Amino acid sequence: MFLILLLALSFRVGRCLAVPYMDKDSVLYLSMANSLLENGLDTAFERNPRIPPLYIFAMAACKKYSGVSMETAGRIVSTVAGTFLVLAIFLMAKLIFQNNNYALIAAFLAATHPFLIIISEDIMRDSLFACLTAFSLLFALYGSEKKNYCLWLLSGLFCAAATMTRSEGVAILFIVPIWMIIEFIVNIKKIPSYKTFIFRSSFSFLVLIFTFTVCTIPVESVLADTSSKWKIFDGRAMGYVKSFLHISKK
Amino acid sequence: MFRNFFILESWQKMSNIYTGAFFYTLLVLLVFAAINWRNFKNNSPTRMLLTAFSFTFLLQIVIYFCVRYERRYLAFAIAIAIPLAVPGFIKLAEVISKYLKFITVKKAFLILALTAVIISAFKTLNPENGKVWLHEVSNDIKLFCPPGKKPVVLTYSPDERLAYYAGATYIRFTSGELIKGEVESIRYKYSGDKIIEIPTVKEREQLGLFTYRGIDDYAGYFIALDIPQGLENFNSNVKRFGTDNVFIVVPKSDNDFKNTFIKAGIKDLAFTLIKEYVYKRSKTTVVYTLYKVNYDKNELKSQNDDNVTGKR
Repeated sequence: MFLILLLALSFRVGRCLAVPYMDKDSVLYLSMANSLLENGLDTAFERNPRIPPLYIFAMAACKKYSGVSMETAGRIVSTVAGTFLVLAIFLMAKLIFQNNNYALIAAFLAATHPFLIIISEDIMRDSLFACLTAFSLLFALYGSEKKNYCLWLLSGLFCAAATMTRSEGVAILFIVPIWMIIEFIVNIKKIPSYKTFIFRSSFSFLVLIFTFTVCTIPVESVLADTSSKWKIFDGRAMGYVKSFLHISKK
Repeated sequence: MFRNFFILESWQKMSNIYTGAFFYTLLVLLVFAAINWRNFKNNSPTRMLLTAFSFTFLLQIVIYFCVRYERRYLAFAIAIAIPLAVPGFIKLAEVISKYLKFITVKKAFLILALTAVIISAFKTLNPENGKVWLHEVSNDIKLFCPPGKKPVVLTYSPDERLAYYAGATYIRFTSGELIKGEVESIRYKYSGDKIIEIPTVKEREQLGLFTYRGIDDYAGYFIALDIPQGLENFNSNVKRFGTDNVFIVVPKSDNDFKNTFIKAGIKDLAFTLIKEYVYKRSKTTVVYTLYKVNYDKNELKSQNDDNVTGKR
């Protein structure tokens, strides 16, 4: 597994070295991260008030503590996240197939997938988002398998971090209950006690929600007094759903 | 921005995006995984993964029809599709070993792994678009800008990277052509202390409408400055943003750009050609032209004198 992680990191670093320019939208992130370091929180998000803050914070922290340029800091965050995504996929596959070899194949495929390598080089939020969401799902799986509520805490933490990277991170809060309902239906004849099953599932989900809320609401409150207009639940989402349901027009 | 659900073209574009993002290797493996579905265990983690993949996939379809879509939104969907493709990898190795009898299953695994590495290396370490102009033009801007001064880049390209690499202030002016998104993004103008909406599309389409990037409630928009605008005021406007540190960059040839002024009867231009950059690519030719705005030497001298005496 170490060799596969090394392969993943090599591809991603190689891509960073092969591409001397960044994406068009990366200028936005760089300017916000620079503004955060130079002027503080008050004006950092004025160029895009709705953007979730975690990636900007990560870039600024990486630059502050490593001394590299902001562009390099952005690439470091994406590359490290992209490499850890391979680890998350390995652990997920190990749970699914209960076979180390299958898990290694999954890790290898993730390490060498061209698109995952390309987004790991970009100064964009997607690599970090994919990594955090994958870990959130992974800890939810572990929490369910090992019946350990602390692991659900970790799942909530990563879900919060994913939502603070891209608003779509809240999808985990929908995926988990849907999956719990499917589990109930599939195992309806095998469950010895419905009450215990429902209690355990509900409590696990409550732990997830509680951690998510505890991690995100303070951040939203702190940012409310600044140029940021970020909300945990993106208000535009309802508009998109309505448009889609009314059969969107050009 | 909003695509029609019932138009075939929308679905064709979507399938192109998805195919490009998932990539052919993963799609082939997913097909073989579907054939080899018995390799999946009927367990809770598998059901969780399938739930997560289905939900994410459907969510992305909804998002595709509602916003400006980019394939990088599929990153998470691809990540959770990968474990689903593992049985496909094994099945493909078995098929190869079955039809090429001199290759054992182990060797087939190695061949597939090596193929994956070679394809990834070719695809990712050999970038398709060598946007060399981003660095060449910006390096020349830094070269021609007087030391100690921050350059100002005036351009109608919405791509801010050039100004970023030059360490320059980015100011956008309209091109007079219907560049995609330009009409939507230049909706407002400064009017004294206020910002008001530009009433007509015609006003937004004129060449030489100088704008600043909006912030806060106007983030994502470009706001036209409260100055006499348009082609007839272009020469005077370009001098407003500095002295010997102002540059114009256009994604057009020198002849084409200057012809716009000649056709309007403007012969004397307030800028001088520095260089034209021509890049031949496989299907297109990319042209950029860099100009330096002519400055009033008295204004510059006065600025320098004020700096010495500390008046500014």
